[in-house]
Amino acid sequence: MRRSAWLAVTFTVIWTVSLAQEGGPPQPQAGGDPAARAAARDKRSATEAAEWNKNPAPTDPRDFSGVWWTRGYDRTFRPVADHPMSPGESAALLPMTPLEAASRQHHLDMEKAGTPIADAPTQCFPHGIPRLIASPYPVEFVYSPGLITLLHEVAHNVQLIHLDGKPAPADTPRTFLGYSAGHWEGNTLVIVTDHFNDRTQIDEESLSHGLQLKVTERMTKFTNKYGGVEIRDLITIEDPEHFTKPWTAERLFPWRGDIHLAEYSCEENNRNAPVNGISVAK
Amino acid sequence: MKPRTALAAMALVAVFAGTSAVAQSGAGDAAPVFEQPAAGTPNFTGKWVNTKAGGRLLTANGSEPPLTAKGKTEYARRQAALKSGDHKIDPTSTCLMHGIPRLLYAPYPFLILQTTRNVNFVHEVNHTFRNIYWGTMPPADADPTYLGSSLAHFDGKTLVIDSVAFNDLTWLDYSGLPHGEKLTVQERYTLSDPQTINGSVTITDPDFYTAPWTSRFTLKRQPGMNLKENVCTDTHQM
Repeated sequence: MRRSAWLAVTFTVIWTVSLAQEGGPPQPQAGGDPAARAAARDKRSATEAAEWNKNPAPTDPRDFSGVWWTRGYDRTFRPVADHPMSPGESAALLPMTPLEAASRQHHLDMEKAGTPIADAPTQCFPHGIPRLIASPYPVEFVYSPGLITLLHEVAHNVQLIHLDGKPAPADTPRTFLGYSAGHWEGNTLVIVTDHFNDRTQIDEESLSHGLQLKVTERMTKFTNKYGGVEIRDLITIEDPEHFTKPWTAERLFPWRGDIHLAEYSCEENNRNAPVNGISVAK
Repeated sequence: MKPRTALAAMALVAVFAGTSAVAQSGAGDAAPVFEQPAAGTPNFTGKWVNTKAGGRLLTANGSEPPLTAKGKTEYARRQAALKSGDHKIDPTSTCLMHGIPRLLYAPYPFLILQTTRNVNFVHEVNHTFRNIYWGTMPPADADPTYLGSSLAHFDGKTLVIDSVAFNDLTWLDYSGLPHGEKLTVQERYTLSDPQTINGSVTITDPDFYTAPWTSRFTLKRQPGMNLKENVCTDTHQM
């Protein structure tokens, strides 16, 4: 409850700020001047970095142990672009097959009609990958010999990243979160995940996948200009049934030395449980 | 449940209630302090199963737990329901978290991942985990949860986990032993050989038990066993 209240406030702030930036009422402290707004943003980022570094991130570039939390919430995955884009421009970059284009339009139409197609998390199923990566909740990396375990606050999702260098066992089943194998390329952690079932979405908004989905993540730790530490995750999505070629999205995960994971029970009082495959608000 | 629609709704509420929400989060999100075990303490990292999975808890000398009158009444009600075939009385029948210590007795393997930051229990059953930092004083004013609020420390070679701030929605064991929000639990783990943990759990809850009592269990290492994806809401018809 405390975490959700906190998130709600965060979203409200982001929403209010973005309204202001898009022509809403100017923020009193920024005064509508772009330079003043940039200075305010710099000050906020520096304050955040100091707060989040109270317990510092590990200095070893290959050690991601600890809690990371993406900023805000973007319910879509889109290809990385070399300049800022409108949602329409960005969606146009998606290399969709005709199957995926039709599927995506159906998702958008159903949502517009107020009857969104039920996504796996509405039933307390694991979110799927990369859907889980977008979730606006913290994640903790835990290192142990031959294994990196990702503990996600959201709906207690757990990812096991196998570092034994072996392929997935022959009897590996198809699952919501698939089978993940990791290895290091320099200081970049490369995670390849496959063996997915076809019951999750790529993103919350509209993108789907099939059994041939393979997701390659490339995670690199860096220090931003405010002294904050972040993981950059480049997420390459391959599924020849749904996309004509691989494409790569990006997420950033700031270090959060100021928090621990909270307990999240999806199963308690699940008001989003779907009826006949449609999400309903109860 | 914290679905995104609820978050969106709360965002709107927060517009009007933002001040109090900020004050509350400020109190709860104080920077955690990381205490770490001394060098030379044992490491429990590995895959484990409880040799006494399921069933009912007894005290260390094999007797019945010392239920209060209130505890006896509630336990009898649950036992009667189970005997009549009413398994819906069991909170795990709707995929709620097992609580502690019941989670340790689930007939599924689990990982213990011990690091310098914390000790984590990652259970196959419904992908349930506990993320327990080093320290000796769990915050008693934490919001009540299914798995409680826990801190871990070493007493010599023994890993000790103290937990408080439980909700009253779980059973202590598979037979329905009750507890309330005053429950505190102390778990103790000692390696008796590299493949075996001697474990104990001490239950204190003055509303439901006349005195603290301790139950013992044994964990065996399972190096060849891999955790599977186990999704309760997918296998139970909700």
